[in-house]
Amino acid sequence: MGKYTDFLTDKSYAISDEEDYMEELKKAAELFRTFDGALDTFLAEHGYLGQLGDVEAKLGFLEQKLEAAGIDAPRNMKKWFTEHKRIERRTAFLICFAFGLRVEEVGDFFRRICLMRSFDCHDMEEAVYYYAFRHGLNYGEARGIVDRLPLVKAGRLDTKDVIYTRHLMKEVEQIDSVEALVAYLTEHAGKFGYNNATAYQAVRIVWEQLASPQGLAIRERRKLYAGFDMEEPKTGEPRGRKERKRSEDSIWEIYLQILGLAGSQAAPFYKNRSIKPILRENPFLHPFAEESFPDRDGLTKILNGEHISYERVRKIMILLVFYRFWVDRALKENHYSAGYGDADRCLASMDDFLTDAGYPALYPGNPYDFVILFAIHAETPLLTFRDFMRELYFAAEV
Amino acid sequence: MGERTPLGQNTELRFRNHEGGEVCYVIRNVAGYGGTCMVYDGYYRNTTGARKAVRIKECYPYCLTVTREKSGELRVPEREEHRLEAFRLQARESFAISNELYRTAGLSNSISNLLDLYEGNNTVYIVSSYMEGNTLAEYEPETLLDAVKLVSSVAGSIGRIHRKGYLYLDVKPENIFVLPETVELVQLFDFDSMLPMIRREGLKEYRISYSEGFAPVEQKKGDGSRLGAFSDVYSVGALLFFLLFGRAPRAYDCGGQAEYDFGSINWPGCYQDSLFFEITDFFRHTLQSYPDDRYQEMEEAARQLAVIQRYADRSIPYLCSSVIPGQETVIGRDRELGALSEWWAGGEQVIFVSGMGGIGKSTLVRQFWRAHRERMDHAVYLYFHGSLCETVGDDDQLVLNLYEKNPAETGREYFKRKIKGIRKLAAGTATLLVIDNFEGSLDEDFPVLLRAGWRVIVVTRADMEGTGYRQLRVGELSSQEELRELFFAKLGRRLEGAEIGQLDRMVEGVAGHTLALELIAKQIAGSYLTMGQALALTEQKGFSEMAPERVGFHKDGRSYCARVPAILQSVCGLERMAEEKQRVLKAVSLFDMPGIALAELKALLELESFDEINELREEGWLYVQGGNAWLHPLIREINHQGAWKAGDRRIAIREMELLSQRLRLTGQETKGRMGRLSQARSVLNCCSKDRKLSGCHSYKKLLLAVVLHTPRDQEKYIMAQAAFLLRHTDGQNPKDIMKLYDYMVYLYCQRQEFASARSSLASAFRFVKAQSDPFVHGVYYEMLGGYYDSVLDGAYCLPGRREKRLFEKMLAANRKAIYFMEQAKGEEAGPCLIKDMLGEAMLLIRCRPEGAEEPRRLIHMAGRLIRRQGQKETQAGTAYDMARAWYYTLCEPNQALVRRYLKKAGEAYRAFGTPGLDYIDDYIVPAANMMCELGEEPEASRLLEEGAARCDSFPDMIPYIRKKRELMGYQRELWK
Repeated sequence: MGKYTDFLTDKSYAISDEEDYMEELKKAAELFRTFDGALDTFLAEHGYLGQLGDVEAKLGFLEQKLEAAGIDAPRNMKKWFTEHKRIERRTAFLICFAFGLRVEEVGDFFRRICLMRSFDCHDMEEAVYYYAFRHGLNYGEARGIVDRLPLVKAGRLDTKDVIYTRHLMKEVEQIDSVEALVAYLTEHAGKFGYNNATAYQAVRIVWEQLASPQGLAIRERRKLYAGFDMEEPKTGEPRGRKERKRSEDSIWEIYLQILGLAGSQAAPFYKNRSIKPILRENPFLHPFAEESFPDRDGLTKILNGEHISYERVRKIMILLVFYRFWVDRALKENHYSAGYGDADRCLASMDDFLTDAGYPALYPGNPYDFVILFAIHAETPLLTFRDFMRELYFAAEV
Repeated sequence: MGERTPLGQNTELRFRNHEGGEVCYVIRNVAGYGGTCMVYDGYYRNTTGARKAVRIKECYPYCLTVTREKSGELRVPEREEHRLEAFRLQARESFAISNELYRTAGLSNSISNLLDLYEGNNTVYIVSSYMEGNTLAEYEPETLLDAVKLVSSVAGSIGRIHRKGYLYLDVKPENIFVLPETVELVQLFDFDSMLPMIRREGLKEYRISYSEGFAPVEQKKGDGSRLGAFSDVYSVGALLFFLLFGRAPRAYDCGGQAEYDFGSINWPGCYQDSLFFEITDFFRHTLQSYPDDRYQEMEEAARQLAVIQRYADRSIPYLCSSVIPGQETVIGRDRELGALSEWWAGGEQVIFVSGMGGIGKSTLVRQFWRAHRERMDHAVYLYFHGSLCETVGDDDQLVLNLYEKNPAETGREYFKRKIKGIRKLAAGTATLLVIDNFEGSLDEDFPVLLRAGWRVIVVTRADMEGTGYRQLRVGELSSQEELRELFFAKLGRRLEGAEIGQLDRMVEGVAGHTLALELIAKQIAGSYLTMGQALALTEQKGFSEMAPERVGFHKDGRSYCARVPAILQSVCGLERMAEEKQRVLKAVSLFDMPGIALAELKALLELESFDEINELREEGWLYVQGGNAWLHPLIREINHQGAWKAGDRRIAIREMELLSQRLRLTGQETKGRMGRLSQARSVLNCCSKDRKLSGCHSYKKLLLAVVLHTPRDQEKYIMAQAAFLLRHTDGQNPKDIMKLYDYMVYLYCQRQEFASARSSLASAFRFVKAQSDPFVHGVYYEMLGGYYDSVLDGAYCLPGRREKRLFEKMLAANRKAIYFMEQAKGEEAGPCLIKDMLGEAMLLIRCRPEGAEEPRRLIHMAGRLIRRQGQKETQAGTAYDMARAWYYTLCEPNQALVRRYLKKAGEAYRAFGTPGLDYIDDYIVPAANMMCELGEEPEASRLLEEGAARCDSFPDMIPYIRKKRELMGYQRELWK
């Protein structure tokens, strides 16, 4: 683990001990490196000898590497450094090709530098890249293979006949020639219309455990949950139509409950069933954490098998696994405090889910993961996370 | 580039052995591809020239850019040479370790025999002996026991490897060789991933290859420093999981929250009770993401596998316990659960849990089962069918391994043999038998059943009091709070404010029946009704017909989705009952609480004895209390849903005729009238659900009688029914029709809806014109007089031109009424004539008190008629007292006499049980008026307050609200 990661890991432990942890979290949010900061580390590790503050020199180095690999330099590269712009997956692969990375190094580059998952072999193009990196093919050769493949559109995930990414990777690993690869990909084009299949399956199973009639969330709601209610309820006032329509087992209601926002305070969000107004430009939330923050719409789409971005799926999965772990404990123990070893137990479970789905394990350098890690290390992890969410609510002044 | 080229068929590989001699192996075919090697089938010739099959592993890493030259030599670019050397080194180490392990006592048979290692073609070749058999990836164990034995064997081998100081780290079906004809022994091969257990500190970034699904998270994350014996423990758990479920475990199959569906294992069937519990325990200590939660040593896993083996053995007799799935919402029932726990802790063998269908008996017993299951050795849950012999003999329900019915033996013989077999297993153990839905009798099979030595809970509707066995009666939930909680749980939300009151009314309507409440809650949720709508629908149609949507429901371990009436029928099982008993239930279902007198029921059904009724009572269908028979609201509802047979209709018609007659006989007597009315309305309500019954003459006749006798505070009901009746006057008694018009006009006037009153009068007049009976005409003029009286609103002494004219019309109408009533015949005419005479007298007294002669004459005549007709103790007699009181108030003021007659009249009204509004109109208001006339304002005020207080008793009823407002108006006038 690098120094940066170690530092943030320590920070996630330390913050939960702080009295005013929100301020500490706010400070921590400022510590996360931007993509260009991470890229600097990568460049230094891969032969860049100039000053890290010298943007032109870094650009020159990158362009030289790209050119040598026969790759056109992406547009607006300068903005990576001057405006801290993040890059897309395609661009990330270009850099990997340019630096001649091995398969494992590509994985690291995506996880640590780009905060993304590595190869998604349900994407035909990435399956080709996976093959290419395993066999030391260059970018031009890889593109040559891609150009020979049929076009596949993202579709709905059918859980009855699902092929998991790992399985596809294994199949690709068994292929020993380009011709065989093209034949395989063409023949099995149907397997490439969706992705994140393992994660979808996991989210559905966890959701079922939470939201079924005797599920953990329903039981928590009846037994332990303290609603996010107005401080002084207006007694005798007839309840609004929207409030009456609440059903404790709806996706939205359980979603709010997980976040600790279920209660009369959340009434303003019922119209659009979204908490985006709370998250938007919130001083306590890093933009990376805000981006693709778990949302009701994303959750519904996963449950319906509709395609959503990898980052959204991952964050939803983390939230649900986090909640499942701690609410299960709370219901067994009748309180929310963590027991001895529970934090490590939760982390192990979380990492198991993530690696199983082909996602990077929890990484403290990822601001969203950092919040979860910070909560996991608190004395009452679920309540701490909910407190954090409520603080976001108040900070947003919605 | 990087694409691997295997050696061709018949390629000869020539090496030098340790002594320098040449050995030659011939390649036959490619046997498999590994991450770091290619595996070939080959052979060599021994000294006799015979071919000896071998397996040859060639170090040929997939991840490197390796090319094969024509000579067979492998080449890598210079930059990767060091990596290829690392793989070669690993192969040599693997060979050395494997040989070392092979020589280790106890491992020789578990490790594939590696014959030799050779260097050639710029790589390493390892030759091993060829074995018959398959890897576990291809092999399908015949039984679950075989699968467990195979995994035990793997655990044993890995455990020995651990003891030798190595971690295996690549347990997967492909690396396990199953030897032919035994599952007790397996051989491991591929030792490329092995690591020494010590010296792992420097392996933080060490990437170990792993197999998807079989590697723990610490291995997947590539953290070599965190690996341990527990890492292989995980993989052994994953191996058993794979063999059971046909797939490798995923993250959600790990940890304390994982649930295992043993119904979907590769060898479904009935196993010993503890098997799945022990397997789950094994998974809880192997398939854990957190290493500390796993067995720390392979020996612990092996011990648990030995336990599992014992329970997986199906070659011995054992009793299979039943599985009760999932959780149920059980609210309250602490007393009953306590009673069952007390029984279980005590020594009694049998307990009967009785109560009506749908009250929650089975749910209660299942809850007890769940709470105590861990303390039971065996637990069997049977659904009774036919007889005890059949139920226990049913091998689908009660599985006694190795037992099945011999075609030659009778059901009873098998029952006895099976009980004998169970006795051997249950004796001295904590074994529970539950027989649900028991409908049989305690015949000679019951003692046989008990000989098995198990503890028995019998769930039945029947009342088992007096059988000598312990009984737990299950009734409605005792606390209102619990009933509400149950409702909230089924509704999925909590209620507040006014909704609570509405819920309480519903609870009352179904007498707190749990199933009924559950269904109502689900119907409300599923049909998106508000509580207000639901309450109105329940009261109007019955809860089962509230809405057409289907609702989910669990019964006898199965889930259904059906309409509420169908659910009720299925719970009740009425169709299985004898027809005669069904007839009795249908008849009793005509009556709401407090039901029907037993003697009356017997007469109605023309029964020779009470036998059927008694049987139904004992079976828990019917209640008998205070000489009355009645049904629980739920059973009533179910009976109402059932089809009407011709016999049922005949009984209903007979009852309607009887009730019409009784109401008629009741006349204006109020004593007992409310009870009869309620009974009649209940019968009408029930019959209204059948088209044939609601269209028959008896129905309309009874409805008319009911309307005429219904107190006017229920004007909504009266108006609704009257409108129907006046559209269907055919065949009805004209007198009754006129009384109905009279009632309508009166109510319209009370509501100040004079236009409607006039319209009804016009309609009545059209009807009267076609009638010859003077009584009918008399009634018409009574109602006409009443109308004028209402319009005048007491303005007798302020004769404006309009009032004067109205007053004259009123007097004229009254006189016509007297005229026709004098001519009328029949019992009803007398009281009407008296009432009309007294009415006129009171009018004259109030508007012309100075002319006392005529009123006195009328009162005198009325008195004579009362005495002659024996009406002193009737309402006519009371009206007579009121008229006299008026007389002594205004014509010959005498306070003592006024008080005397008022007291008498008041007592009489109260003794008759006069309905509230009538009492206020006929007594309170006139009495207050009289007191006011006599200058006794405080007394008048007290009377008006008394009237207002009576109105306050009915805060939701509009006629009372209206009446109170009227009284308050009088009160204000009084003190003006």
